[in-house]
Amino acid sequence: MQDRNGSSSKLKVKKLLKIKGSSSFTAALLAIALGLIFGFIIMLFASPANSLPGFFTILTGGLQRLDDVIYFMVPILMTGLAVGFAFRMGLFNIGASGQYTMGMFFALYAGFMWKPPGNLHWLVCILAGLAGGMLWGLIPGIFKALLNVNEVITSIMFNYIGMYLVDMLIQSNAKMYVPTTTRTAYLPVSAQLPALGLSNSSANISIFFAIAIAVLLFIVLNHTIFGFELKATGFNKDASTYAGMNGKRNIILTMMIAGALAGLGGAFAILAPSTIPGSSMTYEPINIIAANGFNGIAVALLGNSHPIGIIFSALFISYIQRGGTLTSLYGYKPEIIDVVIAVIIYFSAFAMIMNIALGRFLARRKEKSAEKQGQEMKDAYQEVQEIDHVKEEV
Amino acid sequence: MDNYIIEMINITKEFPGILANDNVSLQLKKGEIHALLGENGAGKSTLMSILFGLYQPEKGEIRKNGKPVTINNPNDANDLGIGMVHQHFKLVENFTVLENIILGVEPNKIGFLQMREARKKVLKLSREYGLEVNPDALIENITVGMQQRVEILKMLYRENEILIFDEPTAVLTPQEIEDLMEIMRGFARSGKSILFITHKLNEIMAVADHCTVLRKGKLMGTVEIKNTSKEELSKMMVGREVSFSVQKKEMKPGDIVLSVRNVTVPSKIHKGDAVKNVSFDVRSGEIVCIAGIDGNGQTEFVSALTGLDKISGGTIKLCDVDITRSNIRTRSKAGMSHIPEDRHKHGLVLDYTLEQNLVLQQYWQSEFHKKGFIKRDAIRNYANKLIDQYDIRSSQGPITITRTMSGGNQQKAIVGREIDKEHELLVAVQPTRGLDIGAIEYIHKMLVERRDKGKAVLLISLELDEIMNVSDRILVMYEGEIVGELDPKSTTIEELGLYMSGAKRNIAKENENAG
Ligand SMILES: Nc1ncnc2c1ncn2[C@@H]1O[C@H](COP(=O)(O)OP(=O)(O)OP(=O)(O)O)[C@@H](O)[C@H]1O
Ligand SMILES: [Mg+2]
Repeated sequence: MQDRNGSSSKLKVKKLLKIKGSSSFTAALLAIALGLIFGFIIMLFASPANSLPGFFTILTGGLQRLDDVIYFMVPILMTGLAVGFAFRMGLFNIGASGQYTMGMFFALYAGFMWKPPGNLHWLVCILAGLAGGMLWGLIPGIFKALLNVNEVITSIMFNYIGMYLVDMLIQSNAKMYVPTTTRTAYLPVSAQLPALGLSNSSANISIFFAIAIAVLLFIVLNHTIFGFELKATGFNKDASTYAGMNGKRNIILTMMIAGALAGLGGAFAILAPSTIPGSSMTYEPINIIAANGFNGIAVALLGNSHPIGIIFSALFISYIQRGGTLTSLYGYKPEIIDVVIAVIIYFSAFAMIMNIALGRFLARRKEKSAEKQGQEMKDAYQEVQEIDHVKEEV
Repeated sequence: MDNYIIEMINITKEFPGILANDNVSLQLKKGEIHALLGENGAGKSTLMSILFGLYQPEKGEIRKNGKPVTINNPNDANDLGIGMVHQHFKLVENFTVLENIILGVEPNKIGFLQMREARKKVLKLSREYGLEVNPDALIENITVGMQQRVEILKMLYRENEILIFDEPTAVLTPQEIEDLMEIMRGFARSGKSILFITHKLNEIMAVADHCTVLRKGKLMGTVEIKNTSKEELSKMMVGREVSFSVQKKEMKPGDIVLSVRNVTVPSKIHKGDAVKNVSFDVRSGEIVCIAGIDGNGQTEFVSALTGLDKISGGTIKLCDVDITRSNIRTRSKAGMSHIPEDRHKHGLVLDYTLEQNLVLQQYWQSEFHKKGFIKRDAIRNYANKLIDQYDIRSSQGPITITRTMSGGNQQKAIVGREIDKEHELLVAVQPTRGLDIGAIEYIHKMLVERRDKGKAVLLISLELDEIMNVSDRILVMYEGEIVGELDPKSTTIEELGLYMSGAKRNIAKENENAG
């Protein structure tokens, strides 16, 4: 019955982990399958004749461009981690976009304005990106911890502030901005990340950094007392307070780490080597919030906020996006893939958020019906008063 | 033959690692009150959850009026007239009483008439059975006792005939328990059949017709209350004699450990103060009990004492260190242990494993980590030690997810954790709530042992028996003030009751702020 035997309990831990891991894995697979079916149905409506080959392209197209899959995977992996990590503490870091943009800007700035000796320029740029993102996570973190301002609100605000600020700073910097192309100038080669050596490809070593960071986060979450506190707070804030955990410090720390992760994503994206010699990745400051920040939310949800799960969900979403771009060959708009991905996200998110949202959903329902009921209640009140009188007499 | 309204026959239910019900049978007669007794984790809630359609048994059959039925979910149960009040209530906090009662069965189109009808029906039921509620109050603002009446009205509103009560009295004040017993008798008289889980033998003796006893998932038998005694029941349930009184040596009070002076705590519900100018000391080697009817400021006082809430006036010293404004961790390091009132809100991270919860107060100590990295083996060993020592029963030992544990065993885990932690002062708020008699005996022994080891114990309890048996000194709290200091040896329960209801006081109202 009760297990007090060390070695057999170790076995059981493994078994349990397996079951637990596999159940969220199956949930994700189910979500993906449903999403794909739905996507197929949409393709069927859009162009029945091409739907089969088009769908086949979505599924297999990524195989032809594996290097691109890797290149596009890194930024969403990083923003996915930024969202997922904060979520484990119960914080909804919707500000990954702003942190990403800030990271990218800091990396660009270091790339254009600094010339450190030796061949570690790109490393300095990465660290600058990390610092930029961290700063943009820190501020909402401080607001939340010290003033109890909801992090969702501040981080949405900081998405806009960050984006406009960066666009403004870039446009007013002659060294960084080329008005004729309306884009940033080409970064020096020393600032670009070493490529993986695949011919004609932007895939670069940042994939190793990203995966290593994910593994590091896994260790932090599961093997450190900081992770223990973080998850405890995410599960039950009151209990973490009762246990004397320093909630304020942990909120700030978590948001800083999350910001740094997203910032690294921005740096990795902009510092990637270009396939055309003598050029580089560029940024166009046209007042658009970075989509990779929001993709990070999807990646985190599908990966169940688990760092290792997020590696695979980033890989999957990047893969399906690559395949999606190729469906244009069959006359499909690439947007179709956005629908497919949105559906996948919807289903996986639904499964995960169900529990948490149920309470809020009920509350919302109450609000609605309360409005309706308001009048009836008042009318009924009169009646009750009468009945209550009767009650008192009894 | 006998007309059983419900029969559960040879029910077996397995959870990973444990047989929660092992070939259990139970027969409920129409119009009777049938008690279900068993140690923590014996499988009582599980058996009732099966009847209510929350779990599916691996084996066994359920019959209603002799006909086999399948109950796949609570809706099926409801269709069969079966309702349940759970051990932990399932009400929506920011709904009103009325909304909670009709939730799920609200008239399809909420029009003028239906809403009024619902309200009428609720008020009629509430009058008929003496279940007083305010239909427009929000759940979060009403007492636990009233929340329970809401749960009961929910069942009545659905016209349930078979009513399951899972430990309804664990959270009630003595007066509320009296009322509930009367309400249950009323139900039985009107032909409803009642299944009633409790750990309190007095209650079983007072209202039940039959009692079914479980031990570690197995059926020990069903007895007629007329022909049995408390002693026999407890022996059947635990397998040994249980002593109902607490053995204590003379106390040897030492130095002052806790010193509370003029503490005032603002109320969260109304504008005034919930705790008014409270002063007292607790010495090492004594158990001081704060007695009082629920809602007289005890909760707010403990929150302030333990650091969960701020105080607006006064000072608190622990071992001569001023901790009035200290954070919780500092208080803990200064020697405070705290068994909280609400085990699900504060006491446990339900999604953590048992072992993680057992180190919730100590994970940061060097014993359990090395440079910030958790020492898993150390935690496992420590958890196993506590599990053994406090007999914490669960399906998978240290790696059991705490949420799946029985209520009493969750409580034992908290008690074990707080007692085992280094401390000078133990603040125990209703430490035996929801525990079986064997476990209560054990916890009381532990409290006395703490005191004999020279620790200070501050007990906050609503149980009169516990207050009288365990404490060395009683402070009665009434409307936020200490109105009496009593010696349990020279006081009667009746007298204590007078103080608790505010009818008597032996400490003068003081308006000055004496330091
Ligand atoms: N959902 C579940 N998953 C796994 N194990 C469970 C689950 N529910 C109950 N158990 C286990 O089954 C056993 C019986 O639990 P149950 O809640 O029925 O006990 P109980 O008799 O109601 O105890 P208490 O008096 O403490 O409430 C316990 O060991 C518990 O850990
Ligand atoms: Mg139970």
